Amino acid sequence: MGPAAAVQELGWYALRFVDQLGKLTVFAAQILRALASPPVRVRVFVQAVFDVGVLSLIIICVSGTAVGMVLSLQGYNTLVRFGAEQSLGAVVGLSLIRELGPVLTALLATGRAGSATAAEIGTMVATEQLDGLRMMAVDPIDLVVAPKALAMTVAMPLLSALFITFGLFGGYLVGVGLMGIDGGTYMSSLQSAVDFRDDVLGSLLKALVFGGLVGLIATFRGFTSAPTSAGVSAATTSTVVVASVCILLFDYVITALWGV
Amino acid sequence: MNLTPDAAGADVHVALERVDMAFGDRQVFRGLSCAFAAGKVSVILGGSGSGKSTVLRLIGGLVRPQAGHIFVAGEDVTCLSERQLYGVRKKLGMMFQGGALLDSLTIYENLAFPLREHTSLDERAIAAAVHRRLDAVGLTDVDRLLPSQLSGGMLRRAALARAIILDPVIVLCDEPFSGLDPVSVKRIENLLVQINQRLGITIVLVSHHIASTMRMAEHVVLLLQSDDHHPGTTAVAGSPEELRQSSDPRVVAFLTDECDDGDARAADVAAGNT
Ligand SMILES: Nc1ncnc2c1ncn2[C@@H]1O[C@H](COP(=O)(O)OP(=O)(O)OP(=O)(O)O)[C@@H](O)[C@H]1O
Ligand SMILES: [Mg+2]
Repeated sequence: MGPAAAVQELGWYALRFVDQLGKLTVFAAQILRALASPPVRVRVFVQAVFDVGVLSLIIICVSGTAVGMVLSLQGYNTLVRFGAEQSLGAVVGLSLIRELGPVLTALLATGRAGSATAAEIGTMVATEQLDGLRMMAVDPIDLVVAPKALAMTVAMPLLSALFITFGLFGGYLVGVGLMGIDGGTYMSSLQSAVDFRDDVLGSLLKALVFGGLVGLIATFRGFTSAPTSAGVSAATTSTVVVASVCILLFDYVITALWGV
Repeated sequence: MNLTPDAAGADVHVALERVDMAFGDRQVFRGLSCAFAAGKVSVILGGSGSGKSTVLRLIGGLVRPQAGHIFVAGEDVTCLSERQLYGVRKKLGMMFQGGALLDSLTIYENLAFPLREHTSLDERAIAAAVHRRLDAVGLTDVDRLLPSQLSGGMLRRAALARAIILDPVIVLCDEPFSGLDPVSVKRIENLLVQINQRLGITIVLVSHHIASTMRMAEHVVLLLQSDDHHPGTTAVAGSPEELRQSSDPRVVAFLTDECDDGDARAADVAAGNT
C-alpha cells in the first residue's frame, strides 16, 4: 500500500468517525426528546431497569467480592513492607470507590447488559418489529430505545454501589480473616479516609456518566445495525468494543477534570 | 367507520408518481407510476425481488424514494417529516411479510397494543375487539402464546388481525396467503373482501396467489422491470379481465406461466422467500 492510499484510508476512517459521531449526537437528542415528551412509559422503563439489573446482578456481586479480595491481598503485601498495614481499609476503600467500582462495573455491565440490549434492538430491526411499530404510529425511539438507555443510566450507579459494597466485604474477608488485621482498625481506616461528597458522590456520578455512555452506544448500535444476523452480531461486538474504550477514555477525562 | 373527507372524495387513494427508488447502487424502480383506487381491492403482482414489498414500504413512508411523489389519502408522504408521517400512518394498517409482531409480547398483547396506544378503551372492550379479530382470521386459543410459538401461517394471520384492529382506512398486506392451506386462504380472502365491502376499506395487497387474485381483485398492478425495449419500471394496471386479454408479451408470459400451475408456483415462491 503506497503512502497515498494510506492517507486516503486514514481520511476515510476520519470521515466515517465524524459521520458516526454526528449521527450519535442526533440519536442522543432524539432519546432526550422522547424522554421529555409524553407518553411517559413507566412500566416499560421499570421492566428495562429490571432486565439490566437482573442480567448483571450475579456477575457484579461475584466480581466485586473477588476484586475486593485481591485488592486487599495486594494492598496488604505492599503496605506491610512499610509497616502501614493498618491503612489497608483506606487503600481498599479508596481504590474501589474512586476507580475500580465504577469502571469495572461499567465494563461488566457492557459485556452483559449492553451487548444484550444491542442484540435485542438489532433483532427487532432485522425482523421488522421496529418498522411494525412505526406503521402503528408508535415511535420506536420512544417505546424501545429511550427506556432502555435511561434504564442503563439509572442502573449503573446502583450496580456500582453494589460492586463496591461487595468489594469492601471481600477486602474485609481477606484483610481481617486471612491476614489478621484487626476488624476495628480496618473499618476505622476506611471510614476516616473516605469522604462522602468527594469520593462517594463522585463515584456515583462517574457511574452515572458511564451508564449513559453504555446505554447510548448499545441502543445506537442496535438501532443502526444491518437487518441481518451478521448485522446483529456486528452490532453486539462493536457495542462491547466501543463502549469499553469509551469508558476507559472518559474515566481519565472525568478524573482529570473533576478529581474523582 | 368514517372515511376522512379527502379520502371519501377522491377516487384515487394511494398513488405513486414517477418514483425512483434505489438501495445504495441497487436500483429497484425507475420512473414507476401507479395508483390504487379508494374503496377497492388492488393486488400488486410481480416476480420475486421485483419490489412489491418496497412499494408497500414506500406507501407507509418507511423508506423514502430518491425522486417522485407518493400520495396517500391526499398527502404527499415524500414531503412529510417522521412526526407528520405518524398522522398518515394512523390511517394505515400494514401486515408485513414476516409478521413483525413484537416477540416479547403474547399474541393477545400484540393485538391489544395498538388499541392501548391509540384508543382509551377499557380492558373489557379491548378483549372483545382482540377476540373478534382473532376469530375473523380463524385463530383460537393463541392469546397466551408468544409469536415464536406460532407457525408461519398462524403468525401471518395474527399479523393481519393486528393490521385491521384499528379499522384503518387503507390496509396494506404483504403476501397474506403464502404458506396457508386452501381453507385458510379462502377464509382470509373472504375476510378481506368483507372488510372492503362492509367498511369501504381500501385494500392493497401483494400476492403470488394468482387464483385468489383473479377472484378477489378489482384492480391489478403488475410490476415489470426495465429491459432493452422498455426503459424504466413499468406498472401494467387494469382489472383482472383486462390483464388477461393484454397483448403485451411480458404480461402474457407472467400470467400464463402463473396460471398454468399458479398454486404450485406460489408455494415455491413462498417457500423460497419466507
Ligand atoms: N433494505 C434493502 N437494502 C438493499 N436492497 C434491498 C433492500 N430491500 C429490498 N432491496 C432490494 O430491492 C429489491 C426488491 O425487494 P422487495 O423486498 O421489494 O421484493 P419483493 O417483490 O417483495 O420480493 P418477494 O416476492 O421475494 O417478497 C430486491 O432486489 C432487493 O434486493
Ligand atoms: Mg416481498
